[in-house]
Amino acid sequence: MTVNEVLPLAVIASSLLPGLIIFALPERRIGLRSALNLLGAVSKLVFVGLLLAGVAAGEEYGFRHTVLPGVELVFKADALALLFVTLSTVLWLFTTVYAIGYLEGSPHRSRFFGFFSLCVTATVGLAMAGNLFTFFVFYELLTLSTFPLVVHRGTPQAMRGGMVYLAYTLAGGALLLTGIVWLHGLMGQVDFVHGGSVAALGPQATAQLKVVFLLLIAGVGVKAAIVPLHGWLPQAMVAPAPVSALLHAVAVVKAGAFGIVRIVYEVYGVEYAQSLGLLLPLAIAAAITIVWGSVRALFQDDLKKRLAYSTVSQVSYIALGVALFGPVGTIGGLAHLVHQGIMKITLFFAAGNYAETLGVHKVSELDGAGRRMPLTSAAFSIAAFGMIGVAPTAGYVSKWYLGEGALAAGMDWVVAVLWTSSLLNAAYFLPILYRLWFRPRPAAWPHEHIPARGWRETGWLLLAPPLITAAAVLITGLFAETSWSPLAWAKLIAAREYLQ
Amino acid sequence: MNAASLTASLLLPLALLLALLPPATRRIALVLAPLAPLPALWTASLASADAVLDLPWLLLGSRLGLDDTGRLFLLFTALTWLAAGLYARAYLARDARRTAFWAFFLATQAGNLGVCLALDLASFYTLYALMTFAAYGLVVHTRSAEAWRAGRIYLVMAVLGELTLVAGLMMTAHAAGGLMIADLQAASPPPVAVALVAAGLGVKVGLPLLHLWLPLAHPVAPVPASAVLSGVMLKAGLLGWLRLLPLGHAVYPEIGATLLLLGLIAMFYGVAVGLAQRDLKVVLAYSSVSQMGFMTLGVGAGLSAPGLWPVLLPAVGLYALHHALAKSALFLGAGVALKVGGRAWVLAGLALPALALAGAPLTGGWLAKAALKGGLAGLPAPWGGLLGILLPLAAVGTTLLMTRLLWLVHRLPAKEPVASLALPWLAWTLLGLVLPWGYAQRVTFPEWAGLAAATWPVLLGLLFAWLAWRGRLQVPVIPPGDLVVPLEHLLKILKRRQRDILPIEQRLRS
Amino acid sequence: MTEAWPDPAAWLILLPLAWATLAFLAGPGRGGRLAIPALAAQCALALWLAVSLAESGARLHPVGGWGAPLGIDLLADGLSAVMLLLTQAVALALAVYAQAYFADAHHRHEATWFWPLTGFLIAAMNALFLSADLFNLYVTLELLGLAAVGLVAVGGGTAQIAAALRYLLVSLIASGAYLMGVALIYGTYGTAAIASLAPLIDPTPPLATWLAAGLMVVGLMAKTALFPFHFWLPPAHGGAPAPVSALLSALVVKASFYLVLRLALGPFAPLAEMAAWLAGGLGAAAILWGSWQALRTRHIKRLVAWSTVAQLGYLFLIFPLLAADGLAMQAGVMQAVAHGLAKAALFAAAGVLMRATGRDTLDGLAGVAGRVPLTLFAFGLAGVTIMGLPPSAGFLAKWLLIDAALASGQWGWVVVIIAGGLLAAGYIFRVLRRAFLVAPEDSRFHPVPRRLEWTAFALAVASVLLGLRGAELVALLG
Repeated sequence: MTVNEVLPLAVIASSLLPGLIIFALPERRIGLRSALNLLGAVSKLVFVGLLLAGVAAGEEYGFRHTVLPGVELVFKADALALLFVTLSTVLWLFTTVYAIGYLEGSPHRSRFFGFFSLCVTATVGLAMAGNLFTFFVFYELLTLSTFPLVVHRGTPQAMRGGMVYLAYTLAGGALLLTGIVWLHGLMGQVDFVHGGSVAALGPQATAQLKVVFLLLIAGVGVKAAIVPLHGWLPQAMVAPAPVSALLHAVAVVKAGAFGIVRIVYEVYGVEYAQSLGLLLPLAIAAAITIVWGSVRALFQDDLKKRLAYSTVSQVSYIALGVALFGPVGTIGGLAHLVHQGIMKITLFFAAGNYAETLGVHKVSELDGAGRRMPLTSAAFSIAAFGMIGVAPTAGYVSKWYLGEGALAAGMDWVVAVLWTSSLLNAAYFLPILYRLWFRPRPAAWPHEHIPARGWRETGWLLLAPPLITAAAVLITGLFAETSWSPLAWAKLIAAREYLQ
Repeated sequence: MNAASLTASLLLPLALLLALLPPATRRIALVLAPLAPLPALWTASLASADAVLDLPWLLLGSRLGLDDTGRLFLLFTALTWLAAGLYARAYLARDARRTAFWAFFLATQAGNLGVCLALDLASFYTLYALMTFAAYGLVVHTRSAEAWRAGRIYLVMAVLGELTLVAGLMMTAHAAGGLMIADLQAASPPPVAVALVAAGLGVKVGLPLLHLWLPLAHPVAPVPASAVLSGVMLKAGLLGWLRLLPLGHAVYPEIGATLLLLGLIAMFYGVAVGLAQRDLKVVLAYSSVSQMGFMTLGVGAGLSAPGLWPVLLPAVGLYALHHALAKSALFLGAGVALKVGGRAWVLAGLALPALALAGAPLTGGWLAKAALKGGLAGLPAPWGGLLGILLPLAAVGTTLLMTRLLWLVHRLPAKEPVASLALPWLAWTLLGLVLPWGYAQRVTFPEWAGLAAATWPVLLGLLFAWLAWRGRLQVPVIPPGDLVVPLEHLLKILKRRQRDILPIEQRLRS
Repeated sequence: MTEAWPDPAAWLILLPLAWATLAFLAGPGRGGRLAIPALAAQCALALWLAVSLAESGARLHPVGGWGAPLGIDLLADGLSAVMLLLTQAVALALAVYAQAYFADAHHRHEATWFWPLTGFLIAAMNALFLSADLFNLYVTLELLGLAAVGLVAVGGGTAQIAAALRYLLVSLIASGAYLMGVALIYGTYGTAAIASLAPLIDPTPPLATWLAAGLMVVGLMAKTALFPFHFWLPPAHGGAPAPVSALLSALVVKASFYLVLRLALGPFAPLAEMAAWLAGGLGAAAILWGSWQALRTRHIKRLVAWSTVAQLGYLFLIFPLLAADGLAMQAGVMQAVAHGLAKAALFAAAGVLMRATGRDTLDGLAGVAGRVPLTLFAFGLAGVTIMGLPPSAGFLAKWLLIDAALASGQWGWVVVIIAGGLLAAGYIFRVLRRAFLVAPEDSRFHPVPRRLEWTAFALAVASVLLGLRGAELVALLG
């Protein structure tokens, strides 16, 4: 095996192995467990860094293993894969740090961190999948490894959320599998290649290809929480905050959105998909999701539920960008994959901090929390402004590109969708900020667990991650046009997808 | 040197803002905060004409710099912020939330100064948004019930405006094929883009119907904040129009006509509702609505008849300068009046900018109005003739409104004088009388024969005012924010309806 | 291969017979220490056989030197090698499990004749996989049935004896039907050797052949517990001690399926097309009915037993698809292997769960996630195979099956396969979700030997990881 084959496997192994060891660790080995977690996260970061440098220089990384005759497990670390891998790897590091702080003293941590590592393993595997078969393998692994995290608390409510999650995702997986096998039967193994490959089947297959497209998109659409397949996401918010961060920003919904990207660009090819008339329905579905998610978010008093509906809305920006025919929209969608991740993880970190520090779970209980927890609230505010799309945050950059992409594709109505969505985002985020900063604080918090010590409003493990990610929200927006920004990487991918 | 001064203009307020946050540096930051606009002032007066700072890595590719328009706006913006800052130091000396005030004050200032320097869409919008959102903190500073209400309405309208602006900017940039202001010089975006930009910025400018926030927000803010809100932040919207609308090279008859019409309505509507107010600052806020109507006319004319734009642009600029100086002087003076009472010297100090607003001869208003009138006269029928009749009538209205203001001040009970407030105000008032003359050579200077034409509306207004006083005319009271009040009622009814519907929905679901 | 070493095929039958006899002589409850190394040796033999087959193809081994039709021929090809490997591997793991399971004071009385019966059972099964003659197959089938009935009764409880008797009855009737079929065939064609029969049966055979085939296949289906002959399985498998249930569910039912597959591929191939739809339909019904019952039952082991009923249905789905190409056969064998490993793991895990909680109901499971996490993990992993989720061998089986169904344009089966997978998820997560609940205050947990947990885990891991090496398995099948 060459280095170019080993490196993608190393990225997968760097979370898989620590995860497996952690399962076997007794509950009390906190130090060793944390060390393993961080070692895995950091070494993964190093491997990803090597890959990034290589891919930017035009190097190709991949690995193949035959599972059945004509069926291969294929990994390829191309620019698109690395966009997602880098996002998950970096955010996993922060989420791990956060989770170590968040779960301090709670039971079953070995199990939690074990599945946590498996979850990110599945995510990077899915990102680097080189064909539909491999994608499906990791897609289902992701479902299974997140279930124990969703039900981690073991309450009946958590269990209900977990079962709803499973029902949706497994049904989605079944649709996806049907589509994949169907396509496999039509043309053999379906590798992800720039410009797609199914166009070769010729005009007599178009009817079948349309049905397969529907199956595939519905399959991944469950995880991407496209209306009406989004029902699980608000239910799954019963999970602990680091898990929500994982579901909403690092792994699950992103996996769905990423699947849409791969299917449209590298299975069907964006031009062929456009010629089959598949992109407009996708854009309409995404637009409906964007507006509907925001409308539902307006009426949630539970902070995490409001954020969950916000995710429903925001993730579909990615699908929308994919469905806009033209490189500018693609850039917007892909950049939003990263931007939404860092913004939403900041929001969930902050929400977790309010819950863990003050026992505050509801929007209506947040009055004056900005005074008690200024740093957390500042992070929350930055990310909220990002979600609204206020400059100079990351959210502004992706919205701008999406709008420009829509105009370039001649779909002017999308600008109206963006306008409506931003307005609704403002309508459900600004009241939170108002409560945080401008309302007087109550005499006592619902359940203050962690007392403030000087400027340290809560545990530093809880405080550092949201601050860093909030800074990233600003930096990726402010320095969007530098060569190392997510936007620049999205441009690189778009250039490669549209050159074909 | 240019690059450094441009950067410093933008960064000094932000740096002082950051210095305010940790307790260790807070004291020194509080001392220095009023001086934050100094680099901007230096840039506006001394930087060379070709000062440009290209920052392709920032946002979507940014460019900061100065052109003629930007320099003028930067000059009066920086000056007004400086005056307001010095005034605020005394005004808020014993305020419990002083630090918060200065934080929002500096953030708003950074945005406002930056808007004058931004030469690309992305940084313009960014700084404009910073200004808008930070100003919320100024509006709700007092934490009173009225302040919360004003803040809420301000924020709703501001968000609507921002979003509409972004949508318009997206389309404009798409049509222009670039994000630089320079790219827009030759572009003719689709009318819908122009309408969106005009409406988005129109919220800030206070176009009729989009003005609802203005008479609520300006008065509830602390006096120095009102001065900058009404004096220069409205002008940021105007500057946006000048920068982002396709003025001078493309014709948009419908949008131009709409703006002309809205400008006319604003001029008289502002006066009419303003006369029905009891609060000094509300009267001033409505006067701002009315005055912005004059500048709206200029922009509307530019969209209808691009040929007139070379004459109109300096006229609108001069009007903006004049109004910024006069209106901030009036607000600062109103603040003094509220603390000191209706003393004679206060009345005198207020009368000077009031006369300027009315366009009395030899004031800045006289220069500005004459220049604007000259430009508008070139409009095709029926506008040219119509405006020739209506503009003097509007001046009559302004005079009436200003008399009402002075009358309200006159009735205030006298209290102890406060020198620390009065001195910056008086200095500022005098500067306001002089400064427009420095800019007069840019526009066609009014003929001395026109003095009479400028005098009679003022005299007529005074006559009406005297008659009303003699006749003990009872002014009906219109609540500040006028149309907001029925709107709020409507919303309340809708909410009640929703509360009735909600249980049914829940029952249906279970 | 050198003559100094006799063929591994014969040893695979002799070795278990030998240790079974020794264990019998040693007395009740004894023999475990002997069985484990012997089974390890059998594993090596099976592996050796598989490797040599992969090199040189199918092989006939005449026992004692006489050829057919007089002597006993042992036939080893890819299919039998796979089944032999599966049998030895699962049996070894379960032997390790059983030794620890019966070492406990509470379960020692259940051990009685477990070891000798297991030895005979494995000998019979190995012989079955290696036989090339319908009559010899009958003998092995009968031996297998008797040993299995003995094992069901090994615990000695009333319910177990009743279940064993019912099983015995079904087994005897089924063997009888099979024997009648064999007699008819022998009467018609004058031979019972599979290889000689294949060319003799044409697509329009006499009625006797139809009758014979019908009797044989129905008998075998009853032994495989295919719907609607499944009624004996849940009480028999659900009631026996955990290692026994695992052996029966993982291996024994596969033996009769193997025979059906052999017949359908060999002599009865011309007739198979007609009956294939019936077999497939019954398989589909088994999947739905078994899953439905598994979703309803309140007992852990019943749930796992019903799952066996459902999973066996998949094995019969392949018959309507056999015509397409090798895909369906590969799918069937893959499913048999995957299910064998996973079901052994599930029963082993269920045994641990019941022992840890002291209860046999699903409701008693609350909190086990914190107490026996490894076992629960094993249960989950085996569940992954049962649900047919990647990367398990069960997933590959489903993939191949769907592929075969789509290739032949038979849409209905795809729906059944997908629905079966989702139903399986339903009953597997019935267990898992209760395990994650917070344990009630009054619940008591009993310590469980680590060895029980680890064997269950090893079996489950094997069932999942096999999915990554599906290519080798398919290559062995040829």
